[in-house]
Order: sequence, then structure tokens, then C-alpha cells
Amino acid sequence: MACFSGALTKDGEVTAFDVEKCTGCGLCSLACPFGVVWNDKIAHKCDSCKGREKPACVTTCPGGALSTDSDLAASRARTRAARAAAQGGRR
Amino acid sequence: MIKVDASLCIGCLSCSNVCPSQNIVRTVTEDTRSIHWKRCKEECDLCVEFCPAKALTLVPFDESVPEPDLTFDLVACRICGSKYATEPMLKRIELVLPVDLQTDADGLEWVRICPSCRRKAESVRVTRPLVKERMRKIP
Repeated sequence: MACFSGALTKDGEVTAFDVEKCTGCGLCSLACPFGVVWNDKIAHKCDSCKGREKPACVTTCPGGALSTDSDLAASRARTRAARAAAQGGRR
Repeated sequence: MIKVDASLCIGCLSCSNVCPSQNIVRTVTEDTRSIHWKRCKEECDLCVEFCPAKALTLVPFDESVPEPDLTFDLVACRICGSKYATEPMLKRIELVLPVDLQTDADGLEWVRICPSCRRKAESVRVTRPLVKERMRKIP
């Protein structure tokens, strides 16, 4: 929403980045609530290792905690909430 | 050469980044960010085209006109105090983002927090319930 030059666009669920259009103004990094877009001459953000079969962080995580399935994270959160409710709710 | 509307410029440095002949000079200190537009004879208008604030226009070359110069005080992060942005840039973010997005679930006005502290706040928010749950499991 903050990008004026059209370098950052929505591509389905992910935000795509076109390096050719970026002017390095840094507005995107100021508009990110999670602080995960940063600006060093041009904008940088995670592209989930586009072009690889799986992101490197997912391949490396020994606990299997990371995955590219965003539904999985949501269903795990629901399971956690349900378990907490079964044990007498949040304290 | 370039004419700058000081009331519109947000101090983002886009113009300086795209200028192919290094005619737009930046000076960054811990507390301020200054931009100096040199008198240029180029006919290129990349800086004008890529200014997010539409603050720049091309005017005919004139030696008697002083070179524009602007200095912005950098805004301090409300948590760690590090200087991370110019006030007009933050104002612009507050203008384009829907108001309900500008505070997080804990009521934190994150636009006024630096990106590094935003990451910390988010990680605390996400891990807090997990840690609580794990503590409960210990008899």
C-alpha cells in the first residue's frame, strides 16, 4: 500500500518485489508492522526462496516447526486454543 | 535543473537514489538527513518521475538561483530511541494505511516504533501464550 513506484505488488498470497522498479525510498519498510521489510539502497524482503523447491529455513529447521503451508500454522493455533480450553481455559 | 517544493518533500532520498549523475547529494548524521540538489544541466527527469511526493519539477538552467538544500530531523523510536525516519515519511504512512491497522493487538502504535523494535514486539506477542502454556505443563 505504501509503495508508489509499483515495485511491490500482490501476487496471490505473497507480496512480489520488482527490483527494477524500486527507488529505495524506504516507505515499505516503514509501513511493515512486523519490521521484516528493510531498506539498504533498495528494499529487501523474504521471497520464500522463490525458485527453490522449499525455502532454506524450512529445509534446515530441525524441529519441523517451519513449513510453507500457512493453513497448517492456523490449524495448529486452533488445536492449541482447543487444548487450552479443554484444560480449563486461559489463565 | 531541479526545483524543489520544500513543503512537499518527505526526505526519502528516492531522487538521490535514481539520479544517474550523482547530482543529488545526501548527508546523513545520527540525528538528521540532508539533501542537496546541485544545479544540473541534464535533460533527464528520473528524479521528477520517481519522487513519491511529487515535490520536484524541472526548470530552465539559471545560475543565479541558489541550489536547493533541505534538512530533516530524524524521528526517534518510542521504545529504543534510535533515529529511524523523517517525520513527513511517517505522516505519509499514517495517511495511506487504514487507521485500524495502525495499532496492533496490544494497542501499540507501531508506526512510531523502529523496524527492529517492531520485530521484537511481534516475537514477544507470538511467544507469550506458548511460554505460558509450557509453564502450565510443569507440575
